[in-house]
Amino acid sequence: MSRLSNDHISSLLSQYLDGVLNEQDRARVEELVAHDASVRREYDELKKIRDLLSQSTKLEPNIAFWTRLSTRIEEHKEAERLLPFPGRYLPTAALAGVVGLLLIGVVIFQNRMSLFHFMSEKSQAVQSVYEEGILKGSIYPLLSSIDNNQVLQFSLLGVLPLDAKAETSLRVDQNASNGYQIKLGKSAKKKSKPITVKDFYAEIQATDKQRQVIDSLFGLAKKRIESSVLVSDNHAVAIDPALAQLNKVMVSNIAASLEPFQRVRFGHYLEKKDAPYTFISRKVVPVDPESIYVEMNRIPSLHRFVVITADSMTYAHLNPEAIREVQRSSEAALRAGKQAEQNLEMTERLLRRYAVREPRSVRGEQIPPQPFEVWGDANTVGIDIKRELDEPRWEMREPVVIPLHRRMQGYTIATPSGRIEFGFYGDTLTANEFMMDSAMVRFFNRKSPAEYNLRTMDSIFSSFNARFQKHPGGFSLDSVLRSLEDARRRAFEEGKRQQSIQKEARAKLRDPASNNP
Amino acid sequence: MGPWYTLEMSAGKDGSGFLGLAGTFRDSKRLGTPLTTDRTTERMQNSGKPASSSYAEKSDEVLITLFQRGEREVYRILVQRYQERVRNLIYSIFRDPGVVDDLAQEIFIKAYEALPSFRLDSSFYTWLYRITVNKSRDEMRRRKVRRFLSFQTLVDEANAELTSKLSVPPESRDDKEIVALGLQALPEKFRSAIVLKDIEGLSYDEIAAILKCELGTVKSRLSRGRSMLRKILQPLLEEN
Repeated sequence: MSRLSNDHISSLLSQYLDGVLNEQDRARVEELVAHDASVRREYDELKKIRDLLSQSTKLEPNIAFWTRLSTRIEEHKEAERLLPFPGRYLPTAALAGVVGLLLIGVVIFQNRMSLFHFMSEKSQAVQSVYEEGILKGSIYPLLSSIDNNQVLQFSLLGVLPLDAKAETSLRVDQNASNGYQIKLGKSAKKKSKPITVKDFYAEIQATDKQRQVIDSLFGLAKKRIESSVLVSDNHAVAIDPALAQLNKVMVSNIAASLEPFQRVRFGHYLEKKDAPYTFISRKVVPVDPESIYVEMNRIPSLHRFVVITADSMTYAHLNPEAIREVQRSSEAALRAGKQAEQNLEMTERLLRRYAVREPRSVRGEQIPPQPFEVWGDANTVGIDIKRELDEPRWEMREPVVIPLHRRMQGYTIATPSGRIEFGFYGDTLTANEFMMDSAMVRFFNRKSPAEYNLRTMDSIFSSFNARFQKHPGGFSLDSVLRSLEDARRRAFEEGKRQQSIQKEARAKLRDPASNNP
Repeated sequence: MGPWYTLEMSAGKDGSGFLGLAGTFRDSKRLGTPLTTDRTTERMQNSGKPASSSYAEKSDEVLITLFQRGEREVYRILVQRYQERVRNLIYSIFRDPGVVDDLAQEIFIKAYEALPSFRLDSSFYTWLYRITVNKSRDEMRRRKVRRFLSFQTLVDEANAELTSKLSVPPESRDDKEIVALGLQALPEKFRSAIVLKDIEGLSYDEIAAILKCELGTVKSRLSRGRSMLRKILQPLLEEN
């Protein structure tokens, strides 16, 4: 056998490893390996390297890959549409191409500019969320494929399961200190039976029209929920604290769209399901569904988020543009189909992240007068929202929603022309619909009912010479219901009276003979 | 009760009582969006069921044909089918998790743009891998320029890291990791060939198609690359 060069031997060994040699060459290599110690060693080493390479570690799958990509493709299409010429004319319209590129640049630039508000807080945490999250498009809604059953469950019980088995959930609640609480994590041991929209409609005997209204309310709530809990690839989570009140508003709105007898059923249903809220004044006439829908659509948001990273937190303004951006990606995710498993995985990642953290270190980072506190343990990430938080004012519908088992705080206003009595359940003003003098309008145009105490009320009403007195012992539900009914009856009578006056006047106009006997 | 409920409304007409008053301090101009014209809600309801379930079993070729006829939504299936392979291919080439997702996104966007003119003259993944290898090459070039480093410096860096890893006692060492790192010290054309062959397990023909070179070139790159790798990893191999 002729002597082979080292390079030639290496090449043969390499091909032998890959199994691509012909019969003759293979025999030659096998003979060399068997008889030449250095060739044998080279073969063993090459084989070892190849084996190690073939076992090389794989990356963890990226579950958000498509969500992010689809958003970018959408943007790409958007930019394409901005091109002033169809693609095939592009070579002859090089200038147009340049213009298009400029436009894309401007679009991207503007998007980024509008996000700069997000950095208005000096916090390093926000900055890193901003830079790593939003710019790269890797901030996305935690909840992106919730169905109506889940929205209903959230609306009535304040619990939103994050996975199919409901082992993790998003919970909102009124907490002991008269504020709210948002919790994200392992579900409570006691599991409530899942609520379905179908059962619910059957229970309250909803008509087709009502179903349509309530379904569209679910659609709005869903959008709201989706844009309220955002997560980023780098394990930051941003939560809109106003979410804590959404379920209350939903109960109120659903109740408003129902007939009195259905409200009674709805009330029973809430009690049966151990819901945190119920409502009073079950006899009020249903509200025009369109106005419910329109107003629900306009629920104010301050676009301020509690942003939590692994080691810091802040309360940051997130530009509406940015939220819309996130919402777009949410819709894309929706198109991509079910994501329940992904939600679960995401929550678990968050939990793992927060489990190792001492609550103390979280608070240590807190900027002193924050109106909320973030805490975390092995199972849950929680935000306690105190009452001072300048939250958006959620207007309560008639019938007014009250937390179950809570005592009402009552107030009396004495004005020169009489007395007004009203009360609060938590921050819910029960008498907000029937006090309509201008003082009351001013009263309601103020920021947040939560902020009222006797002194501020006094100052608001001082120009009207009114005094506030705390009602001894509060009001009973009965007296409030009575006053509501009373006010309604009077309004109705007055309406009738006005009607008859007008009718008379019209009759007179139509019939000149009666004027001119 | 005093006359504090000033009645300035006409809502009493229909008997709805004081509820009609709501409009006086809520902006009545807002009312007017008819319930049925809300597109968002419709879209949400309609999009509940993904139409894609039937696509999932279709072959790449069928999906591409559908895509080229305008059914752009099938792209999701293609992406989901190949995203992890592309990500891991990039990871094997760079060994840097930080670069993987951004580059993978770029690759799939590039593929989305180019797919309408793809003529199915090779298989989809060969084509996709070719884009991946090209984009990775661009990225490497960009990194080199940006960092004002010669390739030799990169090789030296990888070697330095390798040496430090090798000085760790053998029992706490991850040999797979070291080999993967050693690969980083190879010039790009050898590295790509080895990644495609030994990690991705492709055939010579496929590699030739992806790298757009002759079969003989693939052979020689693999052989030379492996010899280089063997030299670099000599300390590891000698220990065993």
